[in-house]
Amino acid sequence: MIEVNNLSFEIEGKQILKDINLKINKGTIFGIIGPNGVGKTTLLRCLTGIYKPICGNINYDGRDVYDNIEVKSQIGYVADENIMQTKFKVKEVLKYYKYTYNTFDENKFNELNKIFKIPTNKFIFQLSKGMKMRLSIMLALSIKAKYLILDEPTSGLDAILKNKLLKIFVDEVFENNTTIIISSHHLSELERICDDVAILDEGVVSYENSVENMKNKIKKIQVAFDKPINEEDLKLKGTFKIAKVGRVFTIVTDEYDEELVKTLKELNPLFIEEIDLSLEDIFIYKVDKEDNHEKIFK
Amino acid sequence: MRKYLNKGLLYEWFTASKVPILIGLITWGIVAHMILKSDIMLIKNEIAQAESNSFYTVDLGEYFILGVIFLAIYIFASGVSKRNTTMFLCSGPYTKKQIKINELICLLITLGLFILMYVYIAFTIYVRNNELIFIINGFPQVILIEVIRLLLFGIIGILLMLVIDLLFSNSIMAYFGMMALGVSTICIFEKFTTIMNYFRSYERIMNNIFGNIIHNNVDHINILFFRGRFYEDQLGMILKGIIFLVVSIGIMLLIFNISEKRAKLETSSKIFSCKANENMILVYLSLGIGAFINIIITDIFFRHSIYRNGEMTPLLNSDLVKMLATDVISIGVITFISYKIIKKVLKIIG
Repeated sequence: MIEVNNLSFEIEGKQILKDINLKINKGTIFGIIGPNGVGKTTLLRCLTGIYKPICGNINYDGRDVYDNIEVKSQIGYVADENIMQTKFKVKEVLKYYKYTYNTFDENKFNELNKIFKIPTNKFIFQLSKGMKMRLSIMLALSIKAKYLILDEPTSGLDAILKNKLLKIFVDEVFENNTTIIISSHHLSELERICDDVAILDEGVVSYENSVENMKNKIKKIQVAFDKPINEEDLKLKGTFKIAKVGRVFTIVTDEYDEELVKTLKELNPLFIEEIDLSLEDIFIYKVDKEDNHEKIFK
Repeated sequence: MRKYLNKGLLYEWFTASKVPILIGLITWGIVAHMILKSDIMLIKNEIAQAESNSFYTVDLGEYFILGVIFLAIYIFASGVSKRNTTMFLCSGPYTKKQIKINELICLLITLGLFILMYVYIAFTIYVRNNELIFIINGFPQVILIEVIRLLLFGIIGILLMLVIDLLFSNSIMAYFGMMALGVSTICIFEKFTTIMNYFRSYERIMNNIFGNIIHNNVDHINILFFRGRFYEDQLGMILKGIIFLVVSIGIMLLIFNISEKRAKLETSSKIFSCKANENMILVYLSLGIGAFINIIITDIFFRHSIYRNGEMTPLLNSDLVKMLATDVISIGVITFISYKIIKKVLKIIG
């Protein structure tokens, strides 16, 4: 289990992460989503043990990750951009991994390479952005890591490879009980594979839940009345967005349940319609502070 | 030491720097051959003219090329983006300290290769000139002293390079930083000697500190630091020099250790490795500029007070107070203005 306790991080006085608390269970896929520049990459670097937090700690099965060789040897990290030396040949990077991780499995790398097709004789600088990302993912998977930390792993990949990759991640969890932490802007992909998701906004975790719970709890409700209704009466528990077009109200709540529906029914509406939200919709409702939601409130 | 010797890190470093090491070794081989050959020619002439048959040590400046080679090797090993390379290594099962110490070990191994190349070249010179060397005094001793010089000054150079590099976030900036800090040091040192000479105490202080190390009673200069002939009676002085250099290495290691702890990947900006280092470097550079401009000012306006008959004279009473006040005020003001300007420029650059 990975525990993040009161993690804060700042660079030159600028607070990047504020008091983050997370619990990530073994053998699950944990998604971290958030707008650009909220600190997702910084959080993942802290989780990998690259950055030392200003305060708080990150424990992997009770052991702090920073400067801990044993814990770090169990982590496979995929950065959002290439951080390998570009003058290295792919086969040289492979050799480095062989020397560094005694768990490195060359057969697994070769198996994966049948899918990802990276020429091992080429220099890193000769590879395209997508190829570099593929190589990074293959290496992280080949060390048989207990924990995979993936920062935008699908960026630069085509739809077919993306699909294959997501399947590989799910298989990895299923077969090896690997814990995966993944950050991505492609929320539909995360929705497909993640067990739990945290929304990071302005350096704090603004919402955290399992995808299933999130989808059950966060709902959009359209309700119409034949008589004028005060908007204040519809601000029921968990309501965090409300909009009105004529006499039709659109409410978004993160505490949807039977009781809420019952309360609405007491106002004698003409109809009540519950609409399931995708992870992307949930993300936009939760993070977008402005009230102009033309796309959502169509 | 064993925990710092890591196969993966060694492989990474030497793979990144194998090409410059190879080119550097060939270049160094040629340079070492030229140096030794010219010394052999010189001693041959001196023997022909019945002047002396004692072999020379070379001027340390002739090893400047070795510093340039090591700088190139280091910049290559760090890669295009030092920050990315460090991040890549830090994402692996290594501690930050392990990575830095490994870098030092790799550079020392490389220094060993360069010394071996020097010994090999010296051996070929010996084989080709063995009849002549038979009548030359101190050839093997001088080669041994040169090996000791290469080793000790090499280690000091490597540590200095690593310490300066730790102040900056990328190696190219560190390269320019080394030059800027070097020039600043010269200016500050120059001003320091001038001020000490106001009291005529600079030479006395220097003699007290370095006198015993630099030359002995019969006025032989220590060939560990300067070009000179080898004589048997110099061994004690050479040993003192070696001890001085070893102590210097110890101090440098301490500074390296402190710098390693201060440099943080997470706080490194585009130029500096952390805010504290940025401030320290800016103050030092500004002080260098302050000293440089002060030297020009005093040379233009106060030349008549400092120099008499072309030589620096100690100052007395009011002249001393006037000069010291001028120096302190002008250096202080110029340093402050320079600091503000550099800070502003850095802010604009990003």
